[in-house]
Amino acid sequence: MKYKELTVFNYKVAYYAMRIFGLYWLLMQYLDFRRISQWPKEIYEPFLSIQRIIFPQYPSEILYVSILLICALLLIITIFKQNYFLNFLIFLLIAIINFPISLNFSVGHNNHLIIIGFFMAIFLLSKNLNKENDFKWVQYFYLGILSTYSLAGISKFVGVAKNLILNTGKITWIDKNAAKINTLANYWMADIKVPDCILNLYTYENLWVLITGFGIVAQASCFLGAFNRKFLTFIMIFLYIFHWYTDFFILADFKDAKNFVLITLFPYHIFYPLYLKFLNKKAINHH
Amino acid sequence: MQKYTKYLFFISLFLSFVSLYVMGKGGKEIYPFFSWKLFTSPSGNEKLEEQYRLYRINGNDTIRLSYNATELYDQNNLGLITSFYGRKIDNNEDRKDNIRKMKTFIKSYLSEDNNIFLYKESFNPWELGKPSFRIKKIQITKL
Repeated sequence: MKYKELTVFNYKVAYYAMRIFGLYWLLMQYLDFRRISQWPKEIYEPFLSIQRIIFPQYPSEILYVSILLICALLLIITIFKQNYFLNFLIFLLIAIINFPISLNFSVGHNNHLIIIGFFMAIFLLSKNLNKENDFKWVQYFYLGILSTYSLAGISKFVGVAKNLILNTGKITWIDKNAAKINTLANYWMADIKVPDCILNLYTYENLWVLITGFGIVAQASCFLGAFNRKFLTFIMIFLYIFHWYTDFFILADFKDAKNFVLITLFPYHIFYPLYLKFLNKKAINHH
Repeated sequence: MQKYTKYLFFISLFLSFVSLYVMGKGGKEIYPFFSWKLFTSPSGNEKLEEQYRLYRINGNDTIRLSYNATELYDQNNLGLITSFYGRKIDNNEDRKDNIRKMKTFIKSYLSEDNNIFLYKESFNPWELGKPSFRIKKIQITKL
Protein backbone atom coordinates (compact mmCIF):
# COMPACT_ATOMS: atom_id res chain seq x y z
CA MET A 1 0.00 0.00 0.00
CA LYS A 2 1.08 3.55 -0.72
CA TYR A 3 1.11 6.27 1.96
CA LYS A 4 -2.28 7.72 0.93
CA GLU A 5 -4.02 4.35 1.00
CA LEU A 6 -2.48 3.09 4.19
CA THR A 7 -3.26 6.34 6.01
CA VAL A 8 -6.96 5.87 5.22
CA PHE A 9 -6.70 2.16 6.02
CA ASN A 10 -5.16 2.89 9.42
CA TYR A 11 -7.92 5.34 10.28
CA LYS A 12 -10.59 2.86 9.24
CA VAL A 13 -9.22 0.40 11.79
CA ALA A 14 -8.73 3.16 14.37
CA TYR A 15 -12.40 4.15 13.94
CA TYR A 16 -13.47 0.82 15.44
CA ALA A 17 -10.58 0.62 17.90
CA MET A 18 -11.56 4.03 19.32
CA ARG A 19 -15.08 2.82 19.99
CA ILE A 20 -13.94 -0.32 21.78
CA PHE A 21 -11.38 1.72 23.71
CA GLY A 22 -14.19 4.17 24.54
CA LEU A 23 -16.18 1.41 26.24
CA TYR A 24 -13.15 0.49 28.34
CA TRP A 25 -12.61 4.18 29.15
CA LEU A 26 -16.20 4.54 30.38
CA LEU A 27 -15.66 1.63 32.75
CA MET A 28 -12.48 3.25 34.11
CA GLN A 29 -14.34 6.53 34.71
CA TYR A 30 -17.02 4.60 36.57
CA LEU A 31 -14.41 3.09 38.92
CA ASP A 32 -12.97 6.55 39.64
CA PHE A 33 -16.47 7.93 40.10
CA ARG A 34 -17.30 5.20 42.62
CA ARG A 35 -14.31 6.16 44.75
CA ILE A 36 -14.85 9.93 44.62
CA SER A 37 -18.58 9.65 45.34
CA GLN A 38 -17.69 8.24 48.77
CA TRP A 39 -16.22 11.62 49.75
CA PRO A 40 -18.37 13.81 52.02
CA LYS A 41 -20.95 15.64 49.86
CA GLU A 42 -19.49 19.03 50.84
CA ILE A 43 -16.05 18.16 49.47
CA TYR A 44 -16.96 19.13 45.92
CA GLU A 45 -15.39 22.15 44.24
CA PRO A 46 -16.24 22.24 40.53
CA PHE A 47 -13.50 23.99 38.61
CA LEU A 48 -15.60 25.57 35.84
CA SER A 49 -18.83 27.52 36.17
CA ILE A 50 -20.48 25.48 33.39
CA GLN A 51 -19.85 22.42 35.53
CA ARG A 52 -21.86 23.94 38.37
CA ILE A 53 -24.78 24.28 35.96
CA ILE A 54 -24.59 20.67 34.75
CA PHE A 55 -23.73 19.13 38.12
CA PRO A 56 -24.70 21.57 40.94
CA GLN A 57 -23.79 18.72 43.30
CA TYR A 58 -21.54 15.76 42.81
CA PRO A 59 -23.68 13.57 40.53
CA SER A 60 -25.62 10.68 42.02
CA GLU A 61 -24.82 7.15 40.91
CA ILE A 62 -28.09 6.88 38.95
CA LEU A 63 -27.44 10.08 37.01
CA TYR A 64 -23.78 9.35 36.27
CA VAL A 65 -24.34 5.73 35.30
CA SER A 66 -27.21 6.79 33.00
CA ILE A 67 -24.89 9.18 31.17
CA LEU A 68 -22.22 6.45 30.96
CA LEU A 69 -24.74 3.97 29.57
CA ILE A 70 -26.07 6.40 26.96
CA CYS A 71 -22.51 7.07 25.85
CA ALA A 72 -21.74 3.34 25.74
CA LEU A 73 -24.86 2.75 23.67
CA LEU A 74 -23.86 5.46 21.19
CA LEU A 75 -20.36 3.97 20.89
CA ILE A 76 -21.86 0.56 20.12
CA ILE A 77 -24.46 1.96 17.69
CA THR A 78 -21.77 3.86 15.74
CA ILE A 79 -19.86 0.60 15.28
CA PHE A 80 -22.77 -0.64 13.15
CA LYS A 81 -24.40 2.58 12.02
CA GLN A 82 -21.94 5.40 11.38
CA ASN A 83 -23.42 8.82 11.93
CA TYR A 84 -22.06 12.39 12.26
CA PHE A 85 -24.63 13.56 14.78
CA LEU A 86 -24.08 10.56 17.05
CA ASN A 87 -20.34 11.21 16.82
CA PHE A 88 -20.94 14.76 17.99
CA LEU A 89 -23.04 13.49 20.91
CA ILE A 90 -20.28 11.04 21.89
CA PHE A 91 -17.79 13.92 22.00
CA LEU A 92 -20.17 16.00 24.11
CA LEU A 93 -20.94 13.19 26.55
CA ILE A 94 -17.28 12.24 27.00
CA ALA A 95 -16.48 15.88 27.81
CA ILE A 96 -19.30 15.92 30.39
CA ILE A 97 -18.36 12.53 31.85
CA ASN A 98 -14.88 13.90 32.52
CA PHE A 99 -16.19 16.74 34.75
CA PRO A 100 -16.66 14.84 38.03
CA ILE A 101 -13.44 12.88 37.46
CA SER A 102 -10.85 15.47 36.41
CA LEU A 103 -12.31 18.88 37.28
CA ASN A 104 -12.86 18.70 41.01
CA PHE A 105 -10.62 21.17 42.98
CA SER A 106 -8.33 21.72 40.00
CA VAL A 107 -8.16 20.49 36.46
CA GLY A 108 -6.35 17.31 35.45
CA HIS A 109 -5.53 17.01 31.77
CA ASN A 110 -5.10 13.26 31.34
CA ASN A 111 -8.48 12.85 29.64
CA HIS A 112 -8.35 15.95 27.44
CA LEU A 113 -6.49 14.09 24.68
CA ILE A 114 -9.25 11.49 24.48
CA ILE A 115 -11.95 14.18 24.31
CA ILE A 116 -10.05 16.02 21.58
CA GLY A 117 -9.54 12.74 19.71
CA PHE A 118 -13.30 12.14 19.57
CA PHE A 119 -13.80 15.80 18.61
CA MET A 120 -11.41 15.45 15.67
CA ALA A 121 -13.18 12.23 14.59
CA ILE A 122 -16.70 13.73 14.35
CA PHE A 123 -16.68 14.04 10.56
CA LEU A 124 -14.63 10.94 9.81
CA LEU A 125 -16.85 7.95 9.10
CA SER A 126 -14.80 5.02 7.89
CA LYS A 127 -17.49 4.01 5.34
CA ASN A 128 -17.21 7.41 3.59
CA LEU A 129 -13.45 7.50 3.21
CA ASN A 130 -13.21 6.17 -0.36
CA LYS A 131 -11.77 9.00 -2.43
CA GLU A 132 -8.10 9.32 -3.23
CA ASN A 133 -7.74 12.58 -1.33
CA ASP A 134 -9.42 11.40 1.84
CA PHE A 135 -6.05 10.73 3.45
CA LYS A 136 -5.81 14.51 3.96
CA TRP A 137 -8.63 14.54 6.48
CA VAL A 138 -7.00 11.73 8.40
CA GLN A 139 -3.86 13.89 8.50
CA TYR A 140 -5.93 16.67 10.12
CA PHE A 141 -7.21 14.13 12.64
CA TYR A 142 -3.59 13.25 13.50
CA LEU A 143 -2.69 16.95 13.62
CA GLY A 144 -5.46 17.64 16.12
CA ILE A 145 -4.11 15.00 18.48
CA LEU A 146 -0.40 15.67 17.94
CA SER A 147 -0.55 19.47 18.06
CA THR A 148 -1.37 19.25 21.79
CA TYR A 149 2.04 17.65 22.34
CA SER A 150 3.76 20.08 19.98
CA LEU A 151 2.30 23.04 21.87
CA ALA A 152 3.59 21.55 25.13
CA GLY A 153 7.04 21.06 23.57
CA ILE A 154 7.17 24.53 22.03
CA SER A 155 6.11 26.13 25.32
CA LYS A 156 9.16 24.51 26.95
CA PHE A 157 11.41 26.21 24.36
CA VAL A 158 9.66 29.51 25.10
CA GLY A 159 10.09 28.89 28.85
CA VAL A 160 13.85 28.33 28.45
CA ALA A 161 14.26 31.39 26.20
CA LYS A 162 12.22 33.64 28.48
CA ASN A 163 14.19 32.68 31.59
CA LEU A 164 17.53 33.11 29.84
CA ILE A 165 16.68 36.47 28.28
CA LEU A 166 15.10 37.89 31.43
CA ASN A 167 17.89 36.33 33.50
CA THR A 168 15.43 35.15 36.14
CA GLY A 169 17.85 32.78 37.84
CA LYS A 170 15.25 30.00 37.74
CA ILE A 171 16.21 26.49 36.73
CA THR A 172 15.40 25.82 33.06
CA TRP A 173 15.19 22.55 31.17
CA ILE A 174 18.71 22.91 29.76
CA ASP A 175 20.30 23.24 33.20
CA LYS A 176 22.22 20.34 34.67
CA ASN A 177 20.00 18.34 37.07
CA ALA A 178 16.80 20.00 35.77
CA ALA A 179 15.13 16.60 35.31
CA LYS A 180 16.37 15.47 38.72
CA ILE A 181 14.99 18.52 40.56
CA ASN A 182 11.71 18.07 38.71
CA THR A 183 11.55 14.50 40.03
CA LEU A 184 12.58 15.43 43.59
CA ALA A 185 10.10 18.33 43.81
CA ASN A 186 7.17 16.23 42.56
CA TYR A 187 7.96 13.31 44.86
CA TRP A 188 8.35 15.72 47.77
CA MET A 189 4.99 17.36 47.14
CA ALA A 190 3.34 13.92 47.06
CA ASP A 191 5.16 12.75 50.20
CA ILE A 192 6.70 9.75 48.51
CA LYS A 193 10.31 8.66 48.93
CA VAL A 194 12.21 8.77 45.64
CA PRO A 195 13.20 5.17 44.74
CA ASP A 196 16.96 4.56 44.77
CA CYS A 197 16.95 3.25 41.21
CA ILE A 198 15.67 6.62 40.00
CA LEU A 199 18.33 8.50 42.01
CA ASN A 200 21.02 6.20 40.59
CA LEU A 201 19.90 6.94 37.04
CA TYR A 202 20.16 10.67 37.68
CA THR A 203 23.87 10.39 38.57
CA TYR A 204 24.58 10.50 34.80
CA GLU A 205 24.17 14.30 34.79
CA ASN A 206 25.39 15.08 31.27
CA LEU A 207 23.42 12.26 29.74
CA TRP A 208 20.24 13.72 31.27
CA VAL A 209 20.88 17.09 29.65
CA LEU A 210 20.96 15.25 26.30
CA ILE A 211 17.91 13.14 27.09
CA THR A 212 15.93 16.21 28.20
CA GLY A 213 16.95 18.13 25.08
CA PHE A 214 16.00 15.19 22.88
CA GLY A 215 12.67 14.82 24.67
CA ILE A 216 11.72 18.45 24.19
CA VAL A 217 12.69 18.47 20.50
CA ALA A 218 10.77 15.23 19.91
CA GLN A 219 7.73 16.57 21.77
CA ALA A 220 7.75 19.84 19.81
CA SER A 221 8.07 18.00 16.48
CA CYS A 222 5.17 15.60 17.14
CA PHE A 223 2.89 17.36 14.62
CA LEU A 224 5.22 16.31 11.78
CA GLY A 225 4.06 12.75 12.37
CA ALA A 226 0.82 13.71 10.63
CA PHE A 227 2.72 13.84 7.31
CA ASN A 228 4.98 10.81 7.44
CA ARG A 229 3.97 7.31 8.46
CA LYS A 230 7.39 6.13 9.69
CA PHE A 231 7.82 9.27 11.78
CA LEU A 232 4.29 8.82 13.13
CA THR A 233 5.18 5.34 14.36
CA PHE A 234 8.33 6.74 15.95
CA ILE A 235 6.28 9.49 17.65
CA MET A 236 3.76 6.92 18.88
CA ILE A 237 6.53 4.92 20.56
CA PHE A 238 8.19 8.09 21.87
CA LEU A 239 4.92 9.35 23.41
CA TYR A 240 4.26 6.02 25.07
CA ILE A 241 7.73 5.99 26.66
CA PHE A 242 7.39 9.68 27.54
CA HIS A 243 4.09 9.06 29.35
CA TRP A 244 5.62 6.10 31.11
CA TYR A 245 8.51 8.35 32.24
CA THR A 246 6.23 11.11 33.55
CA ASP A 247 4.22 8.50 35.43
CA PHE A 248 7.14 6.89 37.26
CA PHE A 249 9.65 9.73 37.41
CA ILE A 250 7.42 12.71 38.15
CA LEU A 251 4.19 11.05 39.32
CA ALA A 252 2.23 12.76 36.53
CA ASP A 253 0.05 9.84 35.56
CA PHE A 254 -1.63 10.49 32.21
CA LYS A 255 -3.55 7.26 32.68
CA ASP A 256 -5.38 6.34 29.48
CA ALA A 257 -3.89 9.10 27.33
CA LYS A 258 -0.98 6.79 26.50
CA ASN A 259 -3.32 3.98 25.50
CA PHE A 260 -5.33 6.37 23.37
CA VAL A 261 -2.12 7.38 21.59
CA LEU A 262 -1.49 3.71 20.76
CA ILE A 263 -5.07 3.12 19.59
CA THR A 264 -5.25 6.13 17.27
CA LEU A 265 -1.71 6.23 15.87
CA PHE A 266 -0.97 2.52 15.56
CA PRO A 267 0.41 1.34 12.16
CA TYR A 268 -2.36 -1.19 11.61
CA HIS A 269 -1.25 -1.55 7.97
CA ILE A 270 1.63 -3.82 9.01
CA PHE A 271 -1.02 -6.51 9.47
CA TYR A 272 -2.55 -5.90 6.04
CA PRO A 273 -0.58 -8.70 4.28
CA LEU A 274 -1.79 -11.14 6.95
CA TYR A 275 -5.34 -9.97 6.40
CA LEU A 276 -4.99 -10.57 2.64
CA LYS A 277 -3.65 -14.06 3.27
CA PHE A 278 -6.59 -14.75 5.52
CA LEU A 279 -9.01 -13.58 2.79
CA ASN A 280 -7.25 -15.77 0.22
CA LYS A 281 -7.49 -18.84 2.39
CA LYS A 282 -11.15 -18.21 2.95
CA ALA A 283 -11.69 -17.88 -0.80
CA ILE A 284 -9.80 -21.13 -1.49
CA ASN A 285 -11.73 -23.02 1.17
CA HIS A 286 -14.92 -21.72 -0.32
CA HIS A 287 -14.12 -23.22 -3.71
CA MET B 1 -18.50 16.01 5.20
CA GLN B 2 -15.03 14.68 6.06
CA LYS B 3 -13.48 17.88 4.71
CA TYR B 4 -14.83 19.71 7.78
CA THR B 5 -12.18 17.88 9.83
CA LYS B 6 -9.87 20.63 8.62
CA TYR B 7 -12.04 23.25 10.34
CA LEU B 8 -12.21 21.16 13.51
CA PHE B 9 -8.43 21.20 13.64
CA PHE B 10 -8.27 24.98 13.21
CA ILE B 11 -11.03 25.47 15.80
CA SER B 12 -9.10 23.27 18.24
CA LEU B 13 -5.84 25.11 17.59
CA PHE B 14 -7.54 28.51 17.81
CA LEU B 15 -9.22 27.67 21.12
CA SER B 16 -5.87 26.44 22.47
CA PHE B 17 -4.42 29.89 21.76
CA VAL B 18 -7.49 31.59 23.24
CA SER B 19 -6.98 29.42 26.36
CA LEU B 20 -3.34 30.47 26.47
CA TYR B 21 -4.34 34.14 26.29
CA VAL B 22 -7.19 33.87 28.80
CA MET B 23 -5.09 31.83 31.24
CA GLY B 24 -2.31 34.40 30.92
CA LYS B 25 -4.84 36.96 32.15
CA GLY B 26 -5.65 34.74 35.13
CA GLY B 27 -8.73 33.10 33.60
CA LYS B 28 -9.54 29.46 32.91
CA GLU B 29 -9.14 27.22 29.86
CA ILE B 30 -11.79 26.95 27.14
CA TYR B 31 -12.71 23.38 28.07
CA PRO B 32 -12.02 20.83 26.67
CA PHE B 33 -9.36 22.76 24.80
CA PHE B 34 -6.31 23.78 26.72
CA SER B 35 -3.19 25.85 26.12
CA TRP B 36 -1.00 22.75 26.68
CA LYS B 37 1.44 24.98 28.49
CA LEU B 38 2.69 22.23 30.78
CA PHE B 39 5.98 22.08 32.66
CA THR B 40 7.47 25.07 30.80
CA SER B 41 10.10 24.95 33.55
CA PRO B 42 10.88 21.99 35.82
CA SER B 43 8.92 21.75 39.07
CA GLY B 44 10.94 23.31 41.86
CA ASN B 45 12.57 25.77 39.44
CA GLU B 46 12.42 28.61 41.98
CA LYS B 47 14.44 28.90 45.16
CA LEU B 48 11.31 29.26 47.25
CA GLU B 49 8.25 27.02 47.18
CA GLU B 50 5.26 27.17 49.49
CA GLN B 51 2.86 24.46 50.49
CA TYR B 52 -0.04 24.09 52.94
CA ARG B 53 0.20 21.08 55.22
CA LEU B 54 -1.59 19.54 58.17
CA TYR B 55 0.16 19.02 61.51
CA ARG B 56 -0.90 17.40 64.74
CA ILE B 57 0.19 18.93 68.04
CA ASN B 58 0.46 16.44 70.92
CA GLY B 59 1.74 18.24 74.02
CA ASN B 60 5.18 19.45 72.99
CA ASP B 61 5.34 17.43 69.80
CA THR B 62 4.44 19.00 66.47
CA ILE B 63 4.01 16.15 64.05
CA ARG B 64 3.87 16.67 60.28
CA LEU B 65 1.10 14.51 58.87
CA SER B 66 2.17 12.78 55.70
CA TYR B 67 -0.19 12.01 52.88
CA ASN B 68 -1.13 8.35 53.02
CA ALA B 69 -3.46 7.16 50.31
CA THR B 70 -6.69 5.69 51.64
CA GLU B 71 -9.56 3.89 49.99
CA LEU B 72 -11.19 7.27 49.36
CA TYR B 73 -8.26 9.52 48.55
CA ASP B 74 -5.08 9.01 46.57
CA GLN B 75 -1.96 11.08 47.33
CA ASN B 76 -2.80 13.48 44.54
CA ASN B 77 -6.30 14.14 45.96
CA LEU B 78 -4.89 14.72 49.45
CA GLY B 79 -2.40 17.30 48.19
CA LEU B 80 -4.97 19.11 46.04
CA ILE B 81 -7.69 19.29 48.70
CA THR B 82 -5.33 20.37 51.50
CA SER B 83 -3.78 23.13 49.42
CA PHE B 84 -7.15 24.24 48.00
CA TYR B 85 -8.79 24.86 51.39
CA GLY B 86 -5.44 25.82 52.98
CA ARG B 87 -4.98 28.68 50.53
CA LYS B 88 -8.58 29.89 50.92
CA ILE B 89 -8.33 29.85 54.72
CA ASP B 90 -4.98 31.65 54.64
CA ASN B 91 -6.31 34.29 52.21
CA ASN B 92 -9.48 34.76 54.27
CA GLU B 93 -11.78 33.75 51.42
CA ASP B 94 -15.00 32.58 53.10
CA ARG B 95 -12.74 31.57 55.93
CA LYS B 96 -15.42 30.09 58.20
CA ASP B 97 -16.94 28.06 55.42
CA ASN B 98 -13.62 26.73 54.23
CA ILE B 99 -12.45 25.82 57.74
CA ARG B 100 -15.68 23.85 58.11
CA LYS B 101 -15.06 22.06 54.80
CA MET B 102 -11.44 21.34 55.71
CA LYS B 103 -12.64 19.81 58.99
CA THR B 104 -15.18 17.66 57.13
CA PHE B 105 -12.39 16.53 54.85
CA ILE B 106 -10.07 15.71 57.78
CA LYS B 107 -12.82 13.72 59.47
CA SER B 108 -13.24 11.56 56.38
CA TYR B 109 -9.49 11.06 56.03
CA LEU B 110 -8.01 10.70 59.53
CA SER B 111 -9.32 8.43 62.25
CA GLU B 112 -8.11 10.85 64.93
CA ASP B 113 -9.18 14.33 63.95
CA ASN B 114 -8.40 16.37 67.06
CA ASN B 115 -5.47 18.77 67.59
CA ILE B 116 -4.98 19.27 63.86
CA PHE B 117 -3.42 22.53 62.70
CA LEU B 118 -2.95 24.14 59.32
CA TYR B 119 0.60 25.26 58.53
CA LYS B 120 2.18 27.03 55.62
CA GLU B 121 5.57 25.60 54.75
CA SER B 122 8.29 27.21 52.68
CA PHE B 123 11.40 25.50 51.42
CA ASN B 124 14.09 25.61 48.77
CA PRO B 125 13.53 22.72 46.34
CA TRP B 126 17.12 22.96 45.11
CA GLU B 127 18.19 21.59 48.48
CA LEU B 128 15.93 18.52 48.28
CA GLY B 129 17.80 15.33 49.01
CA LYS B 130 20.68 17.22 50.63
CA PRO B 131 21.43 17.31 54.39
CA SER B 132 21.05 21.12 54.31
CA PHE B 133 17.33 20.84 53.39
CA ARG B 134 15.13 22.75 55.85
CA ILE B 135 11.43 23.55 56.03
CA LYS B 136 10.24 26.85 57.49
CA LYS B 137 6.73 26.65 58.83
CA ILE B 138 4.13 29.16 60.00
CA GLN B 139 1.00 28.18 61.87
CA ILE B 140 -2.15 29.46 60.14
CA THR B 141 -4.93 28.16 62.38
CA LYS B 142 -6.26 25.34 64.49
CA LEU B 143 -8.72 23.08 62.72
